[in-house]
Amino acid sequence: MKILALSEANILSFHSIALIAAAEEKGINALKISELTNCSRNHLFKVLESLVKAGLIYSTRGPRGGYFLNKPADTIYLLDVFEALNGKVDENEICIGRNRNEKSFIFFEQLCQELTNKFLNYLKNTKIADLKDHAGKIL
Amino acid sequence: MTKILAISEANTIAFHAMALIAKSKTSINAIKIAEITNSSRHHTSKVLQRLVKEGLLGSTRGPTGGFFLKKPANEIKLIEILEAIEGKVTVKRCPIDNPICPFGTCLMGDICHDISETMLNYLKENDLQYIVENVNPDKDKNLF
Repeated sequence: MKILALSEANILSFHSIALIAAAEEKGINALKISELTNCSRNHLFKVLESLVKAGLIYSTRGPRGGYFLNKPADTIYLLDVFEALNGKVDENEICIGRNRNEKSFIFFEQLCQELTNKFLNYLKNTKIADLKDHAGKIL
Repeated sequence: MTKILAISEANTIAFHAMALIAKSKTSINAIKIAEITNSSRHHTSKVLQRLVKEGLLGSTRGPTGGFFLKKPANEIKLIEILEAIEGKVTVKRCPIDNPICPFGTCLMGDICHDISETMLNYLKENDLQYIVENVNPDKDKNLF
């Protein structure tokens, strides 16, 4: 069991968009992304499709085709990418996946909330531009 | 509902049930636990069976039957309760356990590892007795 409930798709989406940002105007195709992220192309296509739908990236066809950012890397946050896959995050409900009720105990719910907030703050404050250089090193 | 931490409803029921059983002066049965935790009886029973199977709880039959702790609450670490339901909990550097990461160091820095470690350490350091003593008094005063 793992503590963090992040899916492979979530992690893949973060890595892909960092690579797309690092490729800048040259673009990068799905084959290259799947090689660099060590994941299946089928899974990758689904993830990229969600990012296209959310308006974060676009693709062009043809031999020089590939994926590009739809807006500047310093205007896209990891939270945008996370929400493109998971839907809008409701901060009041995100702690423990269970409706609160008057009879429930509070014990380490506080810790759960703190850790959840820590991760959400990371998503809110990290721009794709911040990850670009890291991803650029392996292009 | 989006979740960041992988604490499931079964896990929550397990923690609550263990705390209730530890705190209850008389034997407490699955129906009562389901009512108090506002969970389905079926789900609660499954979780309790699992806790019995893993040796954390014992049960007695009959009209006054119910569940009891197999060892003192101060000898049951919270991690044991979680692992009884989920199996071994591991914290790896990579959140998806990718054996080969071409990125060298993690793209996301230490955040995933830090969060998992903090939670795991809390569960390893604290025992059921601590939870029982620190239950929010405003919320549980009518339960016993």
